[in-house]
Amino acid sequence: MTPPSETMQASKEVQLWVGPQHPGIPGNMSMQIWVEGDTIKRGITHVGYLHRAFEKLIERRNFYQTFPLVCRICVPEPDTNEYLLAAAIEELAGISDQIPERAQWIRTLVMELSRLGALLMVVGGQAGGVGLGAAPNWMVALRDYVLDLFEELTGGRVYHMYIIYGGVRRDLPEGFEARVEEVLEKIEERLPTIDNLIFESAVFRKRTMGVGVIPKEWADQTALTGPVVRGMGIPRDVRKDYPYLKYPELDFDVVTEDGSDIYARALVRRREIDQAIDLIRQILAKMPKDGPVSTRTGNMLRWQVPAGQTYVRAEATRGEFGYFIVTDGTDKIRRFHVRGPSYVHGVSLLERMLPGLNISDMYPLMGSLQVCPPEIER
Amino acid sequence: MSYIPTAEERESGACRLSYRTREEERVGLKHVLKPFSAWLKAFSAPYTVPIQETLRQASDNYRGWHVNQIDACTGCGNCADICMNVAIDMVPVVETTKKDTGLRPRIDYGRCCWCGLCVDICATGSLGLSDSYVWIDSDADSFRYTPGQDAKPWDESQRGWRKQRKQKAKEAA
Repeated sequence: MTPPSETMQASKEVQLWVGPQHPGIPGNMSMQIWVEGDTIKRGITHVGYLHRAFEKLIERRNFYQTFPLVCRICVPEPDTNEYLLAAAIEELAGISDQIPERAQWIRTLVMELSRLGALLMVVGGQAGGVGLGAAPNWMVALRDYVLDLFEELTGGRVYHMYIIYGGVRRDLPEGFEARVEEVLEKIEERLPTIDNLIFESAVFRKRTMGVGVIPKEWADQTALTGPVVRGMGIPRDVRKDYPYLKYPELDFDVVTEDGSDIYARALVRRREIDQAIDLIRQILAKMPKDGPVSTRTGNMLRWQVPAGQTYVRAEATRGEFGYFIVTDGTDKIRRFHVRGPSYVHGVSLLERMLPGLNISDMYPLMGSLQVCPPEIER
Repeated sequence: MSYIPTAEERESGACRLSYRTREEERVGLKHVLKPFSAWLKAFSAPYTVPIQETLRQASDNYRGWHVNQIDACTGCGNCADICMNVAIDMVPVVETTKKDTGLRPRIDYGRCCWCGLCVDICATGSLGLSDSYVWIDSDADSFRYTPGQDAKPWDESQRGWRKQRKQKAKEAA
């Protein structure tokens, strides 16, 4: 189709570039939109501002050298990436059944802690998208407590580089469980105030209820996952559908909401904060108190993994996250592919939803789809 | 490439449909007043940390600037081999007490990503990451240095990311 700017419609429609330097854009990407008055007629997602060629870089490094790279594919929640790389390579190397029990519990704990941190940030971010200022600041302050825990456990606040082939890099520090509990109590104590600020607020309700509605038949057409699809009332969760780590032993229900709009997606995430807090408590109670946290793999410099291919998946905050990995028997990965939920939500779905939307509703919509550009252009 | 809406979708706008009833969407006086309850927080103690005059101490496991016990180091070069960013060069040092390669790792902080693989692979456990994380200098070249040989304030630091085997032995002793 000829772009509207080259046809007679050019006088009627205005073409706008939003981002990459724009407070409403969720990262290093930009939107090219055509508007008529306040109404968006058509939009295209542009990425490429963050292209670091993760996939190709990883194919040039040996197995241990790849692992500090993957956490950069999603900054707010890096541990899903670390787990997936470790799980895939362990499966190909045939050592997945040798991972110590305690290491698997620690991995589950780290995944839930990082989910909690990421959810706190994104719920605040969604409120920021409609112009509420205080809530995002308070949520990020709460996330900082979670980052403190990560600093103590892994040595890094944002890039943890903690889950490694064969287990995890370090055991839990002494008294860590008690400090996790302290942080959870702090967060729980402050959440009701934040609920009043966001979900009970007239501004947020007016701006998000019935706005950015995804028709329910699109769920399978565009392969939606995560809070986006759970906000449509469909209980789709990798932790339940394809259980991994210790999730089968934990007691939780998939959170769903019926509205299918921005408010429903925010509410799903808010309820998942409660779920993550509950899961962390369950994990701490069920975790074996001591034991090894890693098993031996090959030489760090010359470890070779037999030829094969695999696809592993995990539930990230944004949806199903998957790695497809091919090895050819050498010390390097032959092909590495990231299946990020943001590609689906940020390109296929967002471009399909934009026509007919008011321009000021675009930012809450993008926030509610939780687009993370590095996953799109990996 | 990108999704092009059909004429029908353009006219109707798929996003105009709603699964909510009017009753659910209703906004009452309650929703106008409730957010103001946040003002009650003005009377409670703040839970953010005030800006401190001294630096916050990093955790025991923190991955900060490198330290190296230059006498224990044998100059094998494993750290340079594992470094995925090629941040480590093996350079000759002025004097060593032992008969070894005579080389010691020099770290280029323009490239380092503080993953700590060099520490985990170190056979002698001499290389480590300290808990120190602040360093200001106007000379960019000074951010490439040989830990242990070029004196730094954090050389004596016992905290930070160290090789686990050594840590365990220390605890046993």
